[in-house]
Amino acid sequence: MYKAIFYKEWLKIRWALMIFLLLGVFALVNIFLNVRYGVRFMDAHDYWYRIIIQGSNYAASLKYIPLFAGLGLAIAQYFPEVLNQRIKLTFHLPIRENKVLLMQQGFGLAALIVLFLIYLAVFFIGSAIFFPSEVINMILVTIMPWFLGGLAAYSLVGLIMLEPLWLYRVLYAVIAYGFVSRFYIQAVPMAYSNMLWFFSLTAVLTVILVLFSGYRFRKGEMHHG
Amino acid sequence: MVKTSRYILVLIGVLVLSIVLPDQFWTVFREGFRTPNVMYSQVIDDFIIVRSAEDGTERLDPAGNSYTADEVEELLPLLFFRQLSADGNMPDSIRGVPADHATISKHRSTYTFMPRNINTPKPVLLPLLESQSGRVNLTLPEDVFRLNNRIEFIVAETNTVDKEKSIRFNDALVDAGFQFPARLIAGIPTVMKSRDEGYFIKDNSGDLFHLKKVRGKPYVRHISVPDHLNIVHIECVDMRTEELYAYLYTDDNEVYILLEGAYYLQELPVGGFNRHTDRLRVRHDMFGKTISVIGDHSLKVTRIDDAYQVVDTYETTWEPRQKRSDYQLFSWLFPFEVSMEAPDSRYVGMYFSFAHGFGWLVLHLLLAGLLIYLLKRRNSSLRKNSIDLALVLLTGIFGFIAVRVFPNKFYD
Amino acid sequence: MYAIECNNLTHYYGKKLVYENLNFKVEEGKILGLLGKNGAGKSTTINIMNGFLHPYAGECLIYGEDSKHLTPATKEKIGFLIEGHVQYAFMNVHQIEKFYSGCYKRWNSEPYWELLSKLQVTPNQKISRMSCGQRSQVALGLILAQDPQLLVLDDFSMGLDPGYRRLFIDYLREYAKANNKTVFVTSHIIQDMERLIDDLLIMDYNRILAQQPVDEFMTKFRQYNIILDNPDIPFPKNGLSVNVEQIRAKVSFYTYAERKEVEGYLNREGIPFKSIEEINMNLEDAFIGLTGKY
Repeated sequence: MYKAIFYKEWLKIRWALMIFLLLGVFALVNIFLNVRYGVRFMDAHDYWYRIIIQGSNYAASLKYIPLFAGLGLAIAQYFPEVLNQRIKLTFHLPIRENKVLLMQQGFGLAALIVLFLIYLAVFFIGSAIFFPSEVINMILVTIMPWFLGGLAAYSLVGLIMLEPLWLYRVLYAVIAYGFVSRFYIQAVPMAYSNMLWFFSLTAVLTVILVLFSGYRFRKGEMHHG
Repeated sequence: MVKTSRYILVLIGVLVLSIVLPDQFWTVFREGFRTPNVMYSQVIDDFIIVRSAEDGTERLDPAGNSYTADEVEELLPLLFFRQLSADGNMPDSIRGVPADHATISKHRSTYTFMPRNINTPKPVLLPLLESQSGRVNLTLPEDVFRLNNRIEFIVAETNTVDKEKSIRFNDALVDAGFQFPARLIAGIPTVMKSRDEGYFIKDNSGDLFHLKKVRGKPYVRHISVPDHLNIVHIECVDMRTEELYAYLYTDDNEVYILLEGAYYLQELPVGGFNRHTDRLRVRHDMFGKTISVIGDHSLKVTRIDDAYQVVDTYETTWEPRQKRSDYQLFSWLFPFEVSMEAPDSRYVGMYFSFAHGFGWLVLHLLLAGLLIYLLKRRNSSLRKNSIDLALVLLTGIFGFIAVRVFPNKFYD
Repeated sequence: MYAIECNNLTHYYGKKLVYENLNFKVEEGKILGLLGKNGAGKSTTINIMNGFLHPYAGECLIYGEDSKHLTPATKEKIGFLIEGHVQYAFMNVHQIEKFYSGCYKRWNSEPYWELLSKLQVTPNQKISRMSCGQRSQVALGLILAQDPQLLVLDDFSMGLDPGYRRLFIDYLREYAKANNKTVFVTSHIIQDMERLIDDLLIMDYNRILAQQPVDEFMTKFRQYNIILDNPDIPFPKNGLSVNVEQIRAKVSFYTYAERKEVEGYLNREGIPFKSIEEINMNLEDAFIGLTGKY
């Protein structure tokens, strides 16, 4: 059963995953071409100074890519399910409804995490060429909330899409926007270092949120008036 | 599990609303408030207080005499010398000391400390500039250094450690008695300053060291610090008078300045200062310093002369902001607010501030009543909604909206 | 034990009553058709049966299990065709077979490929790019391959060409009878339905109009065309009458009564008539006669 569910999820998200893999890697390659230019053709120490002392983040253009990846993956995964209420097919499978939802959500989240790990691996390899560990760590701590925000956005979009009533979708979306935007506050580098644990925790906890709107769908909230 | 997911959602809702709603509230209702500005007049040997009053700005001396804006400028020639010169009202000398532009501006500078200066991410690597290059302009070095269990210079161009230089500087530190790891480091890592004085470093034993690069060679100077002083924060200043290197803060909230040449730690009279909550402003001029300790609703000003002796003091307080009508209104609406950013820190966090008083209780009871009414209308049992009700009583409007956005509709 | 047993089912949309105290049972091996106009509550019933709607009151038992909490074992016994032949349209015929085969223990792909072999679809053609008729065959094929004991088909005939409808119905009946399957279908298109179902349940807004075997219904429910002497005398709409449609002197009278009873009834009521004639009806005629044209 696991294999079958994962197969279905894979069919839904593989193109989105591929697109965001290319997009992210393209953005990262672009980032490091810029860094290379900065280090080789301008004064390397000036370039470093701008990053280390003045807080310029060479990976800044990555900011919303994890967010878009989270949104895109959630849409790729849940849009085909809510179109014509196809999620009924999924709920009708011989498996507990909450379990199948968690399997779907878990698979999507795992795929997103793998995607992000690939981004981070590219980021790490590129950074290690040009910068010492302190700088890599500093930028890593700075960009980490963006990735965690992508995970939270992924789960919350799942929640919103599965909700059967439009009014509540809008209300959830307002709260979700307010929540996810906390991961993208404009701040000095490493400003999030004390809060990474909290954001990691919430990003993980949001995995089960889809159960709530899933339950509302199953109990026919749209038919109760 | 479904119920758990709902409670997580409700908590997220409460969190988001307790950030967003108060934020909106403040954009609409925030009342401006300006801290009084207290300066020291060399003309009347007394303080001049400039502050907002009901009908515009008020300019007074401690005795209560009122002045016009023009009069204040004349009383404060060291601050308004450009305007006074333009008007032809600048005296030739002050207190018998010739007062020309060059002298006044050389001595004039302001140093400001804010709690967020401590609560900020520190640079992970630092450049050590050449302090005696023989050139007028300072330039950035080709490398930056890390300082933990040793000092290491990393060349930017190649991203590799300059081993030879690292050993040279490390040995110099060790020879001067430096005990790794370093606990604190402070300097002014910029070329936009009058000269370079390198860094002041607190070592593992609590002692201070001055590290500079002089014609390529390490300069390390041990500065003995009395045992009872635990320095927790250092801020370097760039003063053309070459009077002092840095302001130093101890965990007892004492403030010292590190005098140049003698490397002497001179305590400043800042009684009652709290580095976590108060701002400190020091106005330097050719006759001394005016030290302001600015708290939430109090201001303590001390004038010291160039021998660091207290000349005069002035204290004033104003209405605590909790008593202001915007804060009063807040406390009727919200029990608390959460902010991800704080004025006292550059770190993102969850900063709770609670309303002053219990005015919100009224609204909380009303909302709990409204929730009970809505539940009764749907024939829902109150027992199944007891957590929601408790949340509304506790968090008021935040909880009420959150439990309605994520309805507690469960079957069986 | 019954395959389906609904007891005192009551549901509201907001304050609007859908139906109250609906009771029906489906024996194993029977094909029951739930017929009704659009909005009569067919989908509500299907949703409650499949656990997609929590009824206001009452219960629906599927093989003795409350449909509010269907266990995976029971769900495995039910083949569910969603209204509009909804399936995972982003898959092609091979992918969807591969997916479902991993979900059901009793999976047998033979009927699926057999049905598909009749269609002009390419192996890589996505379901979303098939015609409605083709999709219906895919959806039916999947349910047959699942080999369930109970087939629940929601408005399967909607959007089907007459040819596909026949194909679907004939294949389904043949399959169900050969394998002793229970079938529950809903439809608002009555045409061809008598070829399929054993029992019928005709629903109108918030009530049941008929609930009996199709044969019984077709023999007992009758239409008489009556030509009146005087169209100005109001024709009674109570007593024997189930439904009356009058165009001036011509009255279509629907009833469960025999001709003699009707004549006696008209005489007693003092309605003079020129002629009375019994009309042969197919199921669709009877359905319209029972539910009215509006």
